[in-house]
Amino acid sequence: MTRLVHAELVKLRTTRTARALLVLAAVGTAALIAVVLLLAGRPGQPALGEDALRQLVLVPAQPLTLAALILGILGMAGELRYGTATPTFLVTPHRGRVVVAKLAAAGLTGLAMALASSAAVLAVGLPWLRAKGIEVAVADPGVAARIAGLAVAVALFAVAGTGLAALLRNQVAALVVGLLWWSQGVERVLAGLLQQPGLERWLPLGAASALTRPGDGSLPMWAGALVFAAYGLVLALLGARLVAHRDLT
Amino acid sequence: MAAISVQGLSKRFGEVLAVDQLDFQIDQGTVAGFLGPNGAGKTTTLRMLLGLVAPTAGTATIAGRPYRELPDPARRVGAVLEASGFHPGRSARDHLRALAVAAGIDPGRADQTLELTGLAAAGRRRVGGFSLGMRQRLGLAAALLGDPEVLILDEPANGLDPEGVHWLRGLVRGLADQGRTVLVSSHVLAEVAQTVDQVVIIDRGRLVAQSTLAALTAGADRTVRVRTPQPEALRDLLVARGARVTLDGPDRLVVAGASTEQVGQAAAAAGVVLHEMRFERSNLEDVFLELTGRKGEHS
Ligand SMILES: Nc1ncnc2c1ncn2[C@@H]1O[C@H](COP(=O)(O)OP(=O)(O)OP(=O)(O)O)[C@@H](O)[C@H]1O
Ligand SMILES: [Mg+2]
Repeated sequence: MTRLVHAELVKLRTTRTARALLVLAAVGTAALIAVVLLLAGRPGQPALGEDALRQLVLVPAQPLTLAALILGILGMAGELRYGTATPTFLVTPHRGRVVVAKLAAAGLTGLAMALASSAAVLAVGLPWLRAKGIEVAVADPGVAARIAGLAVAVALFAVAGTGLAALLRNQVAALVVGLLWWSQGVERVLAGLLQQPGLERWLPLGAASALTRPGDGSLPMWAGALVFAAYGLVLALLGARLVAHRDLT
Repeated sequence: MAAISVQGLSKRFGEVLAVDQLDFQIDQGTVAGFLGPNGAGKTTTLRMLLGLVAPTAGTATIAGRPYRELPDPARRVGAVLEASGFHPGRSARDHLRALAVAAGIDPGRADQTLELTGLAAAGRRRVGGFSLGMRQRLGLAAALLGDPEVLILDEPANGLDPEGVHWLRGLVRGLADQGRTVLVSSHVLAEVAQTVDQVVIIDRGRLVAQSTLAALTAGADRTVRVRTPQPEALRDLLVARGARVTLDGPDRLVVAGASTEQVGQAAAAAGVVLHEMRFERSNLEDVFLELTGRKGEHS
């Protein structure tokens, strides 16, 4: 199994998409944080306080989850789109194991993206705040929890993207469905239709927001992580089953 | 035990019965041609053999086991298939290395197979810029990664230039000389005639013939070509005597199943004028068309 995960990581590493997303996660975050810090305290923008780091860590959450979702979709759908599934399944006829390896590789890459981003937040944010004379505690457990939560969320978005693509087996369809869902419209409309505003936090994206926007009426972080992971797992299992049983012609 | 064995194999895609109760065996160390016209079911059969398509009925085994149950399949079987692809953004070498890692094969083997297939210089280039022939070679390189005993090649000559086809023949012959089993598909008999010991011919999903190449040529029908101003009259005479006759232009006939003597006698008896008569040993392609019942059809 580890060699399959390794092979999937090699595949990710050897195309531009994953490399670009990883670099973008760090560079994009650094730029985003610089802008937020520049604007801080101006009219209409929140001022920086002692909990500034907690907020800054989650500033890039939305673009990161989107990037991870796309990474997962492209990794799985590309295999079917370009026909590399044939050599892949010739080498590993147990297709379920290939899908599991893909889920793991996508998750690990998502994790790496989130950690690269958080490192960029600290690298830009800490010296800046110090220079402004704002005292922040680096060892703040709230910051660590948010960094960890974000990493879990981003990894799970990559897993969900992989599962979604396995289920739909078409890159464009997976991207369209993924984007619609990610934009939150679907869940909001669903909760509205059922007239259950409390339902939203139990839906996948609502659960994920416990990690990307904690507080805010969402579930506790650990519960959000569990619920979101459960959705991702179900999606992945359904996708893996489908991929395992389809004829590859 | 047969290296490759197909028994009662069928595959239905909705309305289409792509493969219909196919049976054949390929012995170890044999190079076999797998022939049939477009749509005959060659690719479908090979994909079932490789566990990529599930049979509707029957079994297909390699070394006595279904492909999916082979331990370490990449070290036993190498395959080149149509529509098997490459990520355009990945280099040839990285493509091979990823497959090697998944198969537990030393990634250094990637460079060896690039060398073997004449791609060493292009190894670090992205596959998106490869020509059809280069992709075909890369497919072969992937098939050879695990140094397998059995090779299954689906129309490997597609997209190769004459020099490439020549090179491919040499490669297949070399693999055969090392005692490997090769099953190579084609819709042109002549393409494989120089390399194979044995042929399996299918049409519309069914087995038409399995024999050695020598037996196939020996059993080939001989034909007589005739030029006459009365083609219809002569045709009717010959058909009445059990020959198979096709009109080939306004004054020409192609006769199978009759000798030049028989044609001459029939013409003389009925007073039919002959302008020209020529005996022709039908070539392999005619045998093939005859067997698949597609003679005279244009595809
Ligand atoms: N996925 C599929 N869905 C429906 N029909 C299919 C599918 N794959 C193959 N077929 C049909 O099965 C039949 C056999 O196709 P196959 O590709 O096996 O033939 P082939 O001998 O390889 O032909 P060619 O020489 O053109 O490559 C054809 O009628 C084809 O249309
Ligand atoms: Mg084919």
